[in-house]
Amino acid sequence: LKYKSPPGIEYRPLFKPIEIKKHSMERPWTVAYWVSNPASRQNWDPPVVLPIKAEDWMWFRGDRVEILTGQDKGKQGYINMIVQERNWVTVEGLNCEYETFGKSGDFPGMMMKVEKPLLVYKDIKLVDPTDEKGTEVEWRFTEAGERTRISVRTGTSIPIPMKAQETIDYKQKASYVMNKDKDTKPSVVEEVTYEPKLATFEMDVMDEMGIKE
Amino acid sequence: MAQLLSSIVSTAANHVSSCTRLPVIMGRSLATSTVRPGLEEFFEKEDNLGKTRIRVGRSWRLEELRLKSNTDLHKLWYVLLKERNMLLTMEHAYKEAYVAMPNDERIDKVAESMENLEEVVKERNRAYYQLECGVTGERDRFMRRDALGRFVFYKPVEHSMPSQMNTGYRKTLRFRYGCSMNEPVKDFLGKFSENINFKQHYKELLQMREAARVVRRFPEVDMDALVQKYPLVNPERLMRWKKIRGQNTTVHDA
Repeated sequence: LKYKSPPGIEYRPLFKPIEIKKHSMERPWTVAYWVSNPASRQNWDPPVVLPIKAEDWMWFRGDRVEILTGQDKGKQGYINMIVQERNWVTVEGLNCEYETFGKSGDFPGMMMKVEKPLLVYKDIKLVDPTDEKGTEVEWRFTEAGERTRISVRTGTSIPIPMKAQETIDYKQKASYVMNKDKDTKPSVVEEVTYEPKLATFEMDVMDEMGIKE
Repeated sequence: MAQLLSSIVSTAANHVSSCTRLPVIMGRSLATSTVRPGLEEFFEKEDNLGKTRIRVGRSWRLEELRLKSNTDLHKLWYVLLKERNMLLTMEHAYKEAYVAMPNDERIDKVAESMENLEEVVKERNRAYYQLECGVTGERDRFMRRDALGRFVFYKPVEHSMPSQMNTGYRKTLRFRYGCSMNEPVKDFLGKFSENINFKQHYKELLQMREAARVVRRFPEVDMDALVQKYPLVNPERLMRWKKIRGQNTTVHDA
């Protein structure tokens, strides 16, 4: 919340939310996400980020990648976390640094090994599944008409990993267990029951229920 | 937490049963058991009360609702309404207990489903009215100039008297929607449009400055991606801009 008009009929109702201009490694459902972008810093210049089209984004959770820069150059790992607004990607267990949290007075603090982000267009290369080496990848269409990532060197398609489907509710769409009371079956949802009729919604319902005006 | 919530539920139910007290007949007293005439539907099911997460599917989409008959939509509306009432009741109960509500996005999902349902019903009604009457049947909005000359949406109102007889109302309309276009009004309109244009130009400038920073840092940036991120930016004007002209004469001058 950046500004909210006070309650009262004399005020024009106005609500200005805080815009997150500088995305950090914090996740949107945490408090730290909002604390990192306070109202007092809303006029600061946002960081310069190379714009990549939303449909051309080709890095997903669970993708096997090779790191090209830094201490872990040449090593391969799986993508853990993505911050698309900054073109960042975190690889599991690689490109880490040791950070201390909670140092105060005599207490030295807790030291944790934290993964540092990698830039998607510079520090990362998707791994070709056939020869297990990093390649340049493009979005292309297969003969069937499906849009997939295809490695430029060999021409093999790199499918989107199953881990990318994961949400808070399910790990894979197929393994989702329906809530018996609240959810509707897919077959019921897709069933067509509508027959076009020259009547308004109210007229049609009245006919069906036998209500006469 | 479960005990607290169940106590809230049971006290509410007992309150209800005590309200619906049957009349005491002379010499006899009728024992009222915990009669809950359907009001338990305002609260979450007993087995869901203690949980920290209640898994529920996504909202209904417009494409899915368009397949359904009007009777189905009519029934679905009430199912969604009851669910919405239950969720709002539980939201209040959790607030009273200072406990976080599990999966409060359920309220948003239900609200979205209901909005989509209303939209589908409106579409069908609009189609019928346009076919039979030539108008949408919804409340029209007409652009009219107010006394200061600004364009305002006029919403027609139903009256008991025809407009030819309703001189009092027409007199108020003359002040509300009549523009004289004299000198002060024209001056005001000029300055007002200056203000609007300045605000729009400022919004564009902010985006142009950010886009210029991007082009200076990444000279070979994809223009489509840049315009997707900064929609108010004019790419040709950006490339001619003094802030970035020096770096891009070879790449973008074509």
